[in-house]
Amino acid sequence: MEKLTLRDIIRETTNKHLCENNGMLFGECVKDPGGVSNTIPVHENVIDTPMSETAAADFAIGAALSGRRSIYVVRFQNFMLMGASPFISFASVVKGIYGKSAPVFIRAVGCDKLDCNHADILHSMFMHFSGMKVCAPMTPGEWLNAWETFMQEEQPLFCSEHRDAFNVTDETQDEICEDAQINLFGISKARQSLSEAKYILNKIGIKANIFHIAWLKPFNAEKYIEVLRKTPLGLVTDAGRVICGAPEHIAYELMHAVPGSIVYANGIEDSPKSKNPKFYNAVPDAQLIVDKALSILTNGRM
Amino acid sequence: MKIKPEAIRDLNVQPDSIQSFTKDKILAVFKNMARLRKFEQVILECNQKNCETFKNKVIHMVTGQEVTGSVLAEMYPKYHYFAGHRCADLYLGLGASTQELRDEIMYLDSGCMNGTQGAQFAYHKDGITIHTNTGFIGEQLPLAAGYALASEQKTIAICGDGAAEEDYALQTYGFAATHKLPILFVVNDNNLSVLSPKENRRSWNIAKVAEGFGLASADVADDPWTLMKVFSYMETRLPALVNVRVNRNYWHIGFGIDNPPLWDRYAIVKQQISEIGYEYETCEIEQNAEIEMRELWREYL
Ligand SMILES: [Mg+2]
Repeated sequence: MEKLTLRDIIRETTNKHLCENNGMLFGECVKDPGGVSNTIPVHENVIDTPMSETAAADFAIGAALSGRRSIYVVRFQNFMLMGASPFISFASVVKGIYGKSAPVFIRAVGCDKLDCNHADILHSMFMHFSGMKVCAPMTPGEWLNAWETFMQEEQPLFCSEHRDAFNVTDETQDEICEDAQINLFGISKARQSLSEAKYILNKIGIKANIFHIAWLKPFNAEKYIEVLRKTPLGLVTDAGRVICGAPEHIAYELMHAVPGSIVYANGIEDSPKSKNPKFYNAVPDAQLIVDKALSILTNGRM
Repeated sequence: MKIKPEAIRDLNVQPDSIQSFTKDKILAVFKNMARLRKFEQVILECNQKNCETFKNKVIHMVTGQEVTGSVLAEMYPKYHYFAGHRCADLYLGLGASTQELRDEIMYLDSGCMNGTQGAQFAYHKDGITIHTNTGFIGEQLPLAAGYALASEQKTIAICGDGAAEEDYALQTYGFAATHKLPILFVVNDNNLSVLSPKENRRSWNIAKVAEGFGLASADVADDPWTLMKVFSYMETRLPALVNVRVNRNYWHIGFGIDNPPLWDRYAIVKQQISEIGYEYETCEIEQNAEIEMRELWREYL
């Protein structure tokens, strides 16, 4: 049997939710057949909202308040800069404030090599605020895990998707070797370069462990205590920015979990993204991860 | 050109419309108004006796604009409400717990929002449904629209004239019209957003804008009897928006007063009711309301 892609899993799970749970889906330009990279089914409970990210988010939250769990889709994560406030200010806190829940599954699709307002990864921003879990699934199984977590809870969940993962069919595995010199952690699209980075390092005689991180908040640092004790050096690479971002936070958590370990944070540059290859500011590829790892190993800094 | 206060006070008011309602209805509306007035008068008294009582508390006084919530609560006790701050009139009118309202204001765990907000009042008991925003002005409007779409329940969203002009509020009128939602938007138009008068903020009229989006709409002063007729009319034509011209007698927050109100609707209403022969009943309602609220606030008096 042909394996299902992440795209298929998202579309079929959504369809089931709309058909069987009377769920709803809200977003801009989502109702066309094959919408959002063919991740959205054709269904009457899919609502094409007016072009207002903030109002649309509130509509989704209002629907959830009435008891119909909803999905809010933004085709580009940058649009969450306008759609974020209702989730941060209301949906994440309403349960604690007056006991009603507004569970919305936020599907924020990330991209790379597009312009400065279509290619950013903004999951770090949502880790900052209270009440929202943040997951960056890159495989069908991880996405389903995020969905099932959401369905069991009463809070919104920020699902940081990446367009370059929609064709993925296979799950990823962490790779641990006996005498590793460095641990390479990856988040979002940066994970797709971990194996190659490990291969390049191996060719020059450097062994590396690789770890795929899907859950950003909560982040389970304890899972890595043993490997970090053995190999107390690490590099966390994200598809987003570093400053006050997921890679810095996770590096900090890891170093706290294993005092004495040193974990560096890596991601895109602190500058805008672009469609122009000259100014891509792309997600770090394998060679860039290797270069950083070598710098850490050689100079003790990035 | 300066508009005369009477022109706003009487805007689209239907004279003698009080005659259209039964004694019970008229007195029920007045009772809601009186309870709000007495609730806040006792707060003022508590504050006069001990100015520490409300230190660090955020009080949005409703006095002056209590007709709207008083009328809605009487007409539609079972609808699903989305309100903002300054909604104690609706809360009291619907019969929600006065103890929980007092305790919310006082930041006590026993408040209707566990003492977390102090200035907004959600309530979900005894068949009463009041949702609220958590601080973003007017957010209750799009929340209410999503709720109305998903639940198909009759929903009323109340906000002020500032909230009504938020970008997401404007989108909400269009969304409600597009999806023919069972929703009534009610704007308490006191002409002020904090201290900024409408003419500083916009050159357009919200009722006309709502109409442009395809909503039934009206712009009317806070005469309760006219309002009851307007709401009844609109209720059969949802989605709709009613802009209600009101006075805010006190500052945005707290007990300060800059100018006397342009008109005193409470006094006008009391006079109207007396003139049709129920003076004794109005006095009795006021007395009972005072007893109730003094008892409620006794430990702070
Ligand atoms: Mg106002």
